[in-house]
Amino acid sequence: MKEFQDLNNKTVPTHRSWIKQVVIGTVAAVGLGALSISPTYAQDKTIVWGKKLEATLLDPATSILASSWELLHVVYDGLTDTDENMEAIPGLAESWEVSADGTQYVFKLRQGIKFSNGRDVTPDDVIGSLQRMMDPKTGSFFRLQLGNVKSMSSSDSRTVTIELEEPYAPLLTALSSSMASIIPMKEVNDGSLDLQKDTLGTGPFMVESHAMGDEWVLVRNPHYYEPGLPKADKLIVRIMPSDQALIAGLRSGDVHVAQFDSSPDAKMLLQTLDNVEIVQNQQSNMYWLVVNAVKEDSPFTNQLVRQAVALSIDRKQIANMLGGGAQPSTAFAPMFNACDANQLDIFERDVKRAKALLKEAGVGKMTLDMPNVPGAVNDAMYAVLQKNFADIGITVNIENMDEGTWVSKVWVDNPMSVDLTGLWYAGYSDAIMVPLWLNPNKAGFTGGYQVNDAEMNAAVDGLRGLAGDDPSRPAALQNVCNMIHTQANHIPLVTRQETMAYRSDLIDASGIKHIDGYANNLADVETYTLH
Amino acid sequence: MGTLLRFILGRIASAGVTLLGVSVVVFTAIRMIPGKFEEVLVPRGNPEFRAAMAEKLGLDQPLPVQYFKWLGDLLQGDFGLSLLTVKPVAEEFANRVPVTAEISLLAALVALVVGVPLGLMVGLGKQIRGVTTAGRLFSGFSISVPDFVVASMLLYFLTSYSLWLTAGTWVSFGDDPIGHIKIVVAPVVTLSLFGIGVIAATSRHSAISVLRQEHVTAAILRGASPGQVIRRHVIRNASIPVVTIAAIYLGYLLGGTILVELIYSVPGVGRYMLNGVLYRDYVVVQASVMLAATFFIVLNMLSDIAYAWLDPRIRTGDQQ
Repeated sequence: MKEFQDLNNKTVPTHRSWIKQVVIGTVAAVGLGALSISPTYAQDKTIVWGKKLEATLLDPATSILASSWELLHVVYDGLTDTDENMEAIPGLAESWEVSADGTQYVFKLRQGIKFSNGRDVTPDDVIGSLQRMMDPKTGSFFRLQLGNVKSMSSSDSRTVTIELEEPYAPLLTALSSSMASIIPMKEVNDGSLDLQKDTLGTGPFMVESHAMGDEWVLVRNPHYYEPGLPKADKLIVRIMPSDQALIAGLRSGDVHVAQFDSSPDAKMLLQTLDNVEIVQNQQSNMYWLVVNAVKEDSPFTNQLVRQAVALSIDRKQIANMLGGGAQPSTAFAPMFNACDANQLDIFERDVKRAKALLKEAGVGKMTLDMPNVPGAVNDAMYAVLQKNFADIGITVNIENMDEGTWVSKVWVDNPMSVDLTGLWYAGYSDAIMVPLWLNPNKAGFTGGYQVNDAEMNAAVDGLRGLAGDDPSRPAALQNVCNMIHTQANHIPLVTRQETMAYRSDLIDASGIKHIDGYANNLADVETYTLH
Repeated sequence: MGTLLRFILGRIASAGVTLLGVSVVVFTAIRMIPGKFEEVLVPRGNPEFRAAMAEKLGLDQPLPVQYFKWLGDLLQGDFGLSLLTVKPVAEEFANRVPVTAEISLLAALVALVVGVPLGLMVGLGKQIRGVTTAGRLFSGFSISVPDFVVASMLLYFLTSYSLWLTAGTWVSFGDDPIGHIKIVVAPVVTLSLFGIGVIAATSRHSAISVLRQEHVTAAILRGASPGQVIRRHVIRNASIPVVTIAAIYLGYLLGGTILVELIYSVPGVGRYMLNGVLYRDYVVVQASVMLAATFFIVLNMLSDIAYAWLDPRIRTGDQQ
């Protein structure tokens, strides 16, 4: 039969030609699929890690988001690492000695460590990396967290000495942060490495390719310093924003390790799956409510109003709503055991007292706008806060916006152009580290909402000079904790709980269990073994 | 010059003007959203660092300078470098356009293959008890349920039961044909449901309308068989509204794929563009929008030309 038949001198499609076109179209579509991105998973030696957020800024020193640190930890190493209890253990340094007064650290580098391009790591790389990170021109916000470094030097090809102006207890664990990663300074200085787009580290894997917002392909670093590691040949990082897609991937076995961030529902959803190990590591990361004590027309310039808001908050309800092991917290995360909540004047919910404070401040009912980047966690947390504030006569309108708009209002506008907002800070490895952000003169980025209080600044700065075993340290920490709660400018809410899961029948990823404050969520990835 | 050729040249000229307008709008609009690229990238960075980054990327230049530089590059076929990854956007398109095109084309095919017969069957009054009612109900349901609800429901089933299908990963057909099909089914079904509903409803209305026209009655009186009447008179005349709605549906797929690619973690252009907006990667957003606009405008142009070919009155401007 003819493909087309004539009808009134016009060609019209017949049934057969219609079917033919459908078949051709289908083949064309599938052909296009064949041309598309080819991850080429080698199932036997490839680990697939599903994570919700993309890694954006790749320069370790300036990388500011935990979603990037997660990846950088896999590619780079610091002088130290941390163990499952967040104690410092050898990283690129195999050992170290600390002087009796806690101001001199002498690090011995491992023998024969190399970057993934095969070049030896030298003390110049170590010193150059840390100097670059601490140079204000580099723009690293973490430079405050390495203590007051007086000098750095090397006496031979494996020794690096750091001299401090005063003792700084967190130094060893702070050096395990991805922001203190050791980078190849020779390549950075000669311009052959652009840290904004490329990576070159000493970690177990190195980046082979990247499709923005979708996938990173990392391959084994042949020069990794641990013999026999990593055990896998390849690590595929899939960016999967949806909880359900992560779970579907785990169920089908297409994803071996899934990271759900602080999703409130993840644990419950995961319990329906067989052969899935759920891991909720203890975290020092915390959610805070920050109120604007800087903007002239903000009601929160009045400390009584700030305290009233702080006293209205029901942390247990927030923790329940967030699920997944979130815990009510004082200014210091519970894992640091550094602040006794019973000694705090402004902590437990007390609506009656909150109302009295508002009355004392001469404030009647008021309406405020609170910006929100929609998501399961923020929505749940803001719903509780909205109800809590309503209980003391404060109406809060929640304004939904995207992350970029929120950043602009909270961290670019100075003073912050909103009255209050929720946010989270990484908690790092020592109780004294986060309070350093509360000195706006030093931290900078908190200056848009944090009152510049000389007494508080002095108390916070005073913590830096205390060695870990200094007998006055517990009292000093409790004092700063009291001040933070009384000031009620940064109001601590609950811990931020990460939920991770892996297919225990496909992979041994038991090293993933650890205490964390640096978003090193795939800790010990080099030891993961595919069954 | 033939009327059809004149018609086509006119459409091409108007498409060029429209694309120029789109370039101005997208360039301006993405910069009007609060939060600049360097601010979103380094939310807690100091102002000096952000300023240095903006200078390095040329974002500190006056907007007209930035616009004409971008337009000049674009006219030479250079989509530019992503601000975020510093990699050519064209390379990303080379990988992603086939993914989005495959899902969109398969969804459109499914919508046509299911929607047109369904609509004709219901519209031409095949009195199979229950089938016409079911067809109408299905059509109404698929139009009224949004994509994200369908996607969420499908994902729920995929996460709750060990079905053959999967989601949350991607593998090309060339590497793993079966694996590819397992991944593609859910996005295609999600995207095609709306199309099936709309095309079925349009086909039904159109067929009913054509059946009432005098030339159909004349054909029946001439003794044409029902099959001949449907093939020669109804399908051809009912096809114009279906072509129109199919073109609109393909345009709708441009938006629909963004959501579907996001939910199912499909590495297509839609997801790339969305990430560009979230990270304020101006170059990615501009290039993606221009690509989509070009596709949409060309599609409309082809649709117009198809009308003109199907109905000579349109190309001569005679609407009587």
